[in-house]
Amino acid sequence: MGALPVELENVYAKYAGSEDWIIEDVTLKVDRGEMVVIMGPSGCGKSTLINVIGGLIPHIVAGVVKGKVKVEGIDILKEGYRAIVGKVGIVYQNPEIQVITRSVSEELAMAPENLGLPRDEIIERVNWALEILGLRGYEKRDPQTLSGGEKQLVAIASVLTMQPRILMLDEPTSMLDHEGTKMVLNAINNLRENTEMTVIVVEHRVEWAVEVADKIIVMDQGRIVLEGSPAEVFSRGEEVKKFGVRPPSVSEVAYELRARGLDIPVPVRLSEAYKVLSEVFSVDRIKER
Amino acid sequence: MLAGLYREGDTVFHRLDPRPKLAWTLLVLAASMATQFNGLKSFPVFVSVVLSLALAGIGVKIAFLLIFNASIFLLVTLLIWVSMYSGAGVVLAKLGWLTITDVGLLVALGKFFLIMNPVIAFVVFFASTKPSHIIWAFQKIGVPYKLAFSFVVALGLLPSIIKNAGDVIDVQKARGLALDRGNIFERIRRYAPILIPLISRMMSDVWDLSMVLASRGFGYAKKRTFVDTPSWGRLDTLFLLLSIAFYGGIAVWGLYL
Repeated sequence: MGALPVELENVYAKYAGSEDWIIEDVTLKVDRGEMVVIMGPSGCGKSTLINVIGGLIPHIVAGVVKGKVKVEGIDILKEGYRAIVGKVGIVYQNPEIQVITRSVSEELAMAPENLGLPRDEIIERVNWALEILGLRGYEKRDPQTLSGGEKQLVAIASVLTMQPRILMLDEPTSMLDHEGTKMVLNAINNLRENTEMTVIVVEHRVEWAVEVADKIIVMDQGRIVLEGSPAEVFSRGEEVKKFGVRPPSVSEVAYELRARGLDIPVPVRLSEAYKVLSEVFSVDRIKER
Repeated sequence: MLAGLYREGDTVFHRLDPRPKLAWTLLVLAASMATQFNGLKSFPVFVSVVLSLALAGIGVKIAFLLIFNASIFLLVTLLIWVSMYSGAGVVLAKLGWLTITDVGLLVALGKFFLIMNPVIAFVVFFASTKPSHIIWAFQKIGVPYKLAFSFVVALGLLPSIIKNAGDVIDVQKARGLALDRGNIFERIRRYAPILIPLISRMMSDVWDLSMVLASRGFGYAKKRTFVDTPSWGRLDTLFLLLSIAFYGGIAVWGLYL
């Protein structure tokens, strides 16, 4: 059996100069091809966790990390950041700062150029990334002239050209308008369907998360406080709300009905809610009561 | 971030390989240094760089900005060098305390061109050369990739600093900060609330950029690949030879004749 893409055991992390641990006692296993969505209030350590998995802390950003951090079977605390370069791609929230060059094709070629890959392979990868993210026709465009959503797609494509085994996105839609958000979330769905990459996303849009996630992680004060499938996590409504995460609207309706004495399962997706509520409000069921 | 001064275009200068263009800017610098004590001799260099502004398709706005700033600089240079050389050469005119001599005027012009010619040449170079080509050219001449990239990023940060400063000024003005009142010292003091948020914003941008670059394998390979590379053609050879002949000739004229 191959190594897990991400394996953390009792991990503690903090930045240089900070007294308290930003993440504390985090244990996490992510399976191959899994889609994980991390949620939680601001400052709970989501971005720090991404940077620890990506090997940036402590190798690029000064800090202290304790515990076991294995990415693609590589102990990055021992073997260093270079051991996982190209295996992990990270996309950050600010699209402005992530577009560096003067054309989309240059931008996409940058990471594999840094890896020193052969020219033909880079061109092949750039074409693949353009295709998979629907950026065909944008090759010669100056990224600065694109909309926020388009820039974020270019940023995603720019790390995809490394063909990473793990793609991590840190609040990729938090600085985008509605259209841009739709564009980026659709792109992530598309990647999920058409690649075998393991995807870890920090995202607050819960309705989207429950549709696509295999696993949802809720963090609070540096710790993982809830973990499981969307159904498992949101069946614990009170706890979820306590940690500052808004449950899906359909789950909230179910909480309310359960509070009024109806023994129904908690749906997390609209399709499930339709089934549950059709059952509850069916004529036969009402007659039964 | 790498945008800097570069302007997309399809001019003669845009089509040139960055290496002869870089050599040209260095030749302009050398010729201007060799003729710095005689403005008449460095004038042809000035004409050539102004011509290159047009050949590189530099926008009217940038050209006007350069010329406007140059005229202020010219006045300052004239005042300083003319007064320093007021005792040498033939007196041409006396304006109050200022004695203008032919030597003073030639030196002042030479010193003015010593600064202006290379400035214009470098503007033409950076405005007509893709940042990635500049990095490639630097690497070709032995500059380490990381250093070349950092240099080009630093240039790219200049417009970003100006934009950020404008944003911070707007925000602070909206909060009641009056920058246009009081004497010069009071006005300078009033800029403190601009400087601190600006520096913190730029630090944050640089921090984010370093994370982005790290996550894209920056500096990973010993030999980095360049997909888009310029190629040396006959035009480049011709341009280089003409530049050597022209600026070399002027340098010899300035130094020995």
